[in-house]
Amino acid sequence: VAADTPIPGGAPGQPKPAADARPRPPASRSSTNALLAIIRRGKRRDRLFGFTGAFLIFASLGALGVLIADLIHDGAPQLVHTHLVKEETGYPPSFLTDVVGKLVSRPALATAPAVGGGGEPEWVIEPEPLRLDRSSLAVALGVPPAELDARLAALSGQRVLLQGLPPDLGGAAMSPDKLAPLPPDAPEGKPGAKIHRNAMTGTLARNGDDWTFQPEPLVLVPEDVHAAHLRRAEGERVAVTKRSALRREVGRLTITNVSTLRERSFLMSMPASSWYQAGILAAAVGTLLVMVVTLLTALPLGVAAGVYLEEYGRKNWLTAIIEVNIANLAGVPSIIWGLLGLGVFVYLLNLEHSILTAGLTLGLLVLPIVIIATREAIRSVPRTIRDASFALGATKWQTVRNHVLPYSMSGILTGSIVALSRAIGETAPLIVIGAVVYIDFLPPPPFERVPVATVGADVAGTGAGETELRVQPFAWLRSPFTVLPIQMFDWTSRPEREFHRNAAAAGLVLIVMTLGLNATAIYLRARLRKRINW
Amino acid sequence: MGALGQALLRRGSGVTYVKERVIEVALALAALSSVLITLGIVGILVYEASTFFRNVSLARFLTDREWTPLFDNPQYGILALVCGTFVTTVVALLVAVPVGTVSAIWLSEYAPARLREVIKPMLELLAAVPTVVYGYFALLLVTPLLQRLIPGLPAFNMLSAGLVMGLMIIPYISSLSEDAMRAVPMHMREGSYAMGATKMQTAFRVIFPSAISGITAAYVLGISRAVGETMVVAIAAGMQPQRTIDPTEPAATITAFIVQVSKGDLPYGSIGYQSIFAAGLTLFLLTLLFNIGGYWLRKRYREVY
Repeated sequence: VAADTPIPGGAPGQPKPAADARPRPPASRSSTNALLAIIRRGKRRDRLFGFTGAFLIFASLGALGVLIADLIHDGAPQLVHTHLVKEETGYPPSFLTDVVGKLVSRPALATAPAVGGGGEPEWVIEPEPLRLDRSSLAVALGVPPAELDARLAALSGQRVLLQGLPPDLGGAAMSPDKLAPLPPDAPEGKPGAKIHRNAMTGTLARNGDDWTFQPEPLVLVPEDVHAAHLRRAEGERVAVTKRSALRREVGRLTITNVSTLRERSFLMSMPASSWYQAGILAAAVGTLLVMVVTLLTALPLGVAAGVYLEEYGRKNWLTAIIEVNIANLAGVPSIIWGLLGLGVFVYLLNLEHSILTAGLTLGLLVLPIVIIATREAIRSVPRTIRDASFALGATKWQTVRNHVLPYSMSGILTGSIVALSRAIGETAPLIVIGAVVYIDFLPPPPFERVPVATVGADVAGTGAGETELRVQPFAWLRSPFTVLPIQMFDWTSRPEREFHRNAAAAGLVLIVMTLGLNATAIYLRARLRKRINW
Repeated sequence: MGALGQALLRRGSGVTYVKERVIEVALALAALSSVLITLGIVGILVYEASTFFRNVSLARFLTDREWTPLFDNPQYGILALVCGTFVTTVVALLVAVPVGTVSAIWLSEYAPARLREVIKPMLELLAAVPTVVYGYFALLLVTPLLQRLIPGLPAFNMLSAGLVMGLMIIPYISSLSEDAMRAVPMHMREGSYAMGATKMQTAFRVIFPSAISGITAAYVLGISRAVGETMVVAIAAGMQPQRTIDPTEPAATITAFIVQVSKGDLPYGSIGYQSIFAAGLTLFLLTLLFNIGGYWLRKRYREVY
């Protein structure tokens, strides 16, 4: 076939003889067939290649889709999840010192005149049930797992003594160390009898496959706790701080503090050592403040540089160097910017590991993006607009300020949005300049009401001491910080699966921000292209 | 009267002139700041690295077998880190170059114009995802998947980090290549079609060679991105410097080492502190090489038509 058939795609040899010699069917037909075969093969390959290209593109987009779907799947429940914190301090109740339950009052019993007396009601906390871990229950009871349910069923309904540390609120099931029935005549079953610091009395109940323990209500013995405080918290879910573990008694609890509990969401929580209490408040505020400094650095500097290069700069070696230089800066790896920040801002200028350092570093990092966007926007303003302005006697700066910049503003805006989205996602440079992962406070606000430090004031803890307004508009700049990507990095690096879900939630917030900003930029660019008609 | 008017005019224009000059100088200073930044980067890297090289000879830096600057018996062989960078970059390019190129050809030659207007920005979103999210993706999604295909694959490995990094740099390659291919004049396509060539033949034998310098520039940019990428490798490839070219092993890259050291609290001026600048200088020189090459190629390709 190939002997007299020319190369595919060309075929210049055949048509010529057709003009004079019609009767040559055999040769012509075979070569026509061969040509057709080649064309068909070419078309087939072409189509195959077209499919491959489309497939690869959609596969890449699909990978992005899988990533986003995974973030939503793992992160969304975490985002809407809430946990409890003490209202006064904002900290979650801790299992070592707190008992959590509902605070109720009842008239004091005549049999217990030691508590209160004189018509004062008796305060009682009704602790919340605890979920029990099956495997450690079997160990605590000393029975094989197969017989566990039968043994627990025999115990349920009776008073039992449970020993062990309850887990943090909302967390895993409790792993008891010891579980024993409590005969009515046992000394530790009597009200007021001392029991182990980690022990409590109550009853077992079955809840589907799980077993739960319902601790008995405890009469509170307040020590240094104001009655007003207790009255305010009545009927609420509270955490009480135990006075001393050694004075734990059956049915009674000496307390030093009562805190009302409030639900707090992931977005409004500080980092914490347990996953369900941890949140991204510090990181989100950090990201926001760092971005403010970043924009304040990059925008004026970048727009000014762009204006100079487009409107003022003459074509000479200096502007050529600046141009090559900007192109190169855009390609410098982000971690190198971190080293610049560490060497120059942290140690040379002594700005410490602060929001200011982070913002300046990221501002310089995105500067090339802003410059390039500004130049493109300015370049798209037609010459005629400038000429008209000059013809009216305007100076160069007047022309730039009143005509060129307003017309290129949306282009500059688009570039700034892209720069912002880049800066939000940057992690490595901020790690290098020394971002702190675990921060459980917010930067100082510009205005703050602080108590006046006078000798001996406010001993009673009534909070009635004098306050003064402290004005510190720039204190936040010097505050240590963390940002969302660093928080996510930290959670991703931990071994526990639950922290990975927190990481997914942080990632979801992050990706919504960056993709949202980028989508805005794309939309603005498309609108711009349609609307402007010089 | 005429003299007064002239004086006023001169005075007014004098003020305006001064104002214009001040503004121009301020703008020029802003433009010059980019040069200052470069000088700052080079200065700080060279300064800190030079204190490092006062303690460690360049010969040791290049020939030591391991990179353990924080150990009791420190070794300073940068090649252990370069190895990790090299392997992850190669894996990333093995993904990004074919996918990016084919995508670019498809977008430029096959896709209907309206579809291209939609797909191209969407593909560019791949580059907008924060790298730490890609790190999460590599460690917690791709690695478990790969472990099913390759039994015994460690939890930290360069393969999954490289693959995800490849996904990340696809848009850098596809977007720039597509721009280069679309810059090829229409008459070259028409000439090829007139000769009976298919789209694929046109793409590979006419368009691709014509746009080669732009495409190479795109590849170079991709390489430079892969070499400088930090979070994906720091999360998914492990933190242990290793002289290996087996992608299924864990190994630290130059960037991952800098992150690892920075996470701890390093005292200013210690050898560990200086070592991150030495590593950074190596990285900077590597990427600078690629960036200059890419810029030069882009410049050249712009002058073709």
